Amino acid sequence: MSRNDNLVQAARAALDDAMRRDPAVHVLGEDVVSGGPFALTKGLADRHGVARVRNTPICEGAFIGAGVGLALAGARPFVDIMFNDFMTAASDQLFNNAAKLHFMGGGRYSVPLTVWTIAGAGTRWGAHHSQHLDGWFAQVAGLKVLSPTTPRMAYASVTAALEDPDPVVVLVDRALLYDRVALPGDDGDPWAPRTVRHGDDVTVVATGRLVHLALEAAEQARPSVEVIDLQRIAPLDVEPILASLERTSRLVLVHDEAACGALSALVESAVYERGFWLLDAPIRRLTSPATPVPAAATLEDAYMLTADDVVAAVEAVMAG
Amino acid sequence: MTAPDVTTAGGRLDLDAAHAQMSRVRAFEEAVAEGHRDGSLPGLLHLSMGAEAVAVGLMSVLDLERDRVYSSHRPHGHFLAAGVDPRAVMAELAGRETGLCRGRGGTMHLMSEPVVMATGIVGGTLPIAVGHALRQPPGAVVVAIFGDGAVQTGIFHESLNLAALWKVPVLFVCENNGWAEFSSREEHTTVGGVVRYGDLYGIPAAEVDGADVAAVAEAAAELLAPVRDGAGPALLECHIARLRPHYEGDWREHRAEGDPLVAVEQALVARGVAAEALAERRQADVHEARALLASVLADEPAADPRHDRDLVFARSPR
Repeated sequence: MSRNDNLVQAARAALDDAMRRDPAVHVLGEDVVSGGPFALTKGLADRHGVARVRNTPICEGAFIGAGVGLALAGARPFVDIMFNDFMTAASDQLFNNAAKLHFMGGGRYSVPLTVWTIAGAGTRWGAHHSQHLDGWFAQVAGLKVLSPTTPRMAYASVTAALEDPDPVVVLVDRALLYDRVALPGDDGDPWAPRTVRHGDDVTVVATGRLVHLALEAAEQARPSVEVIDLQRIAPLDVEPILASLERTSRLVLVHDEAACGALSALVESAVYERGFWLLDAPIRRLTSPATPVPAAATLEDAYMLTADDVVAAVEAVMAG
Repeated sequence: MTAPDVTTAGGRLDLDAAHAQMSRVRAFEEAVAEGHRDGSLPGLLHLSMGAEAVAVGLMSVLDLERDRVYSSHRPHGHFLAAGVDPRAVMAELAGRETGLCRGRGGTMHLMSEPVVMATGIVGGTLPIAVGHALRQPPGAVVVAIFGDGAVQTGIFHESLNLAALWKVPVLFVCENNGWAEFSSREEHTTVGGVVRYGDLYGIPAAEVDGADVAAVAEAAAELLAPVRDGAGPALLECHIARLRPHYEGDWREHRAEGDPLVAVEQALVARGVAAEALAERRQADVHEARALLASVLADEPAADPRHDRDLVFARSPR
């Protein structure tokens, strides 16, 4: 990747480099030959041929399934699911096959499948192109899920996913696709949560665009705020959160999800189980309401979290 | 005993050897049914009794070194006919650490190449077979076996469409027993025959009496020749009888006509083989399968839950 790449360009560079290194890397997805709506795969078919960059009809179940078959046959498929909402149509192949085959076979096979997808609201596109399903994916034993928040981490995540022997979902917040922001720890491990801001009074754990909003909020809030970018959504790793709580003893979880079934509920329960005695106040969990994502501008704006919401949650957890 | 061969498009099929294989598959599943009845074998068991000629006929025309097979939720016969160790299969059904999948899969999730996998989700293996076929070496094929219940799923049509579009070397084989779970085919679809989907997707298709092992071998070999040559997928509908209920232990009365073992025995007798010799073989196979089950139950170690966490991932994250 080059220094000036945005997140999509960095992810494309990672895929391109992997395809050059390893002839087993294949790309499947809707309109991937022309580049897809976000230009993720732009130019790859010209460089690597349409046998390795393969357009599919609109049939997420079949082409994630085909990815599983390619993986079982020794390839390293990269499957582009245009929006994570469309994964619902492929959930049998992802949840029942990709995630479970290694276990159900007693370790006989592995499924080195990478699924790239994007999530998030803010475009007035309504509930079928805007939800965040992080919490869903995190509840399936056998899936690994990465959520990079910067171009360099996107490069590292795609590279790591394509080298991994297990199925990995790389879930990117749509709001970050064309961002060029760098964060501390960009040269670190994409599989581990990273501290992107040090503070003493309260720990904020975030994913996706909310990592950037949390950093903005930290500048505005009175207390000294530590911000952790979760990065690895599944399997959850709460060790770095517990280590941070040893110092701050207060926790705010901010995730762009409907409140029901949210990833933050999983983080919250894991922290309560293992870190209850580290806490000086109840954990604050900040999510969107338990509704589908609405389409109208006024409604969607009200649905989405803002930096001010994070500031308010930080102040509240200090008072609690 | 003499070994009367029949000539098919796939070469010569040794009918006697086919009977021997079918008899072993049948005896294995009879022992499994007994084990289920007496409580020694757990699990949701979907037996393949009535489909033995499909399994044996198909495998007889495959190159099991290179060809790969995807199975259904009635998988025992496919695995046994492909030469997978019966003891490992029985140990898997019994939940033993020495089972084919260390007890983590069970009856519907057997895995062992050349039969890559079975599935508990009707139709679930079809797109995987298509993807696998993309990477088969020239001349090698993938066979995807499914029941007629799968034909009403969306994934069946998605998979046929992809396979036809991409011209992948897949032979889709429908074991049409006329029943989808507890309902007849007529209750689930207005489409007359599964074979008709061949026309729709522009791929060669044929239907055959699935109780006739030679006919299955013949039809499969004919359809496979162009598939191996790179012409794209094909579809074979095998009409069979489901001789057992949907699953072992179902409370409904279930009857069906058309036993493939009776059919192959009649064919052999017509060629001069002594009926007594065939009956003796059946008896010996039943005895052996019961002994196998007893030995597995007595000697194979129970699956050990201490290993479960290490089996979730091929590379466990920190």
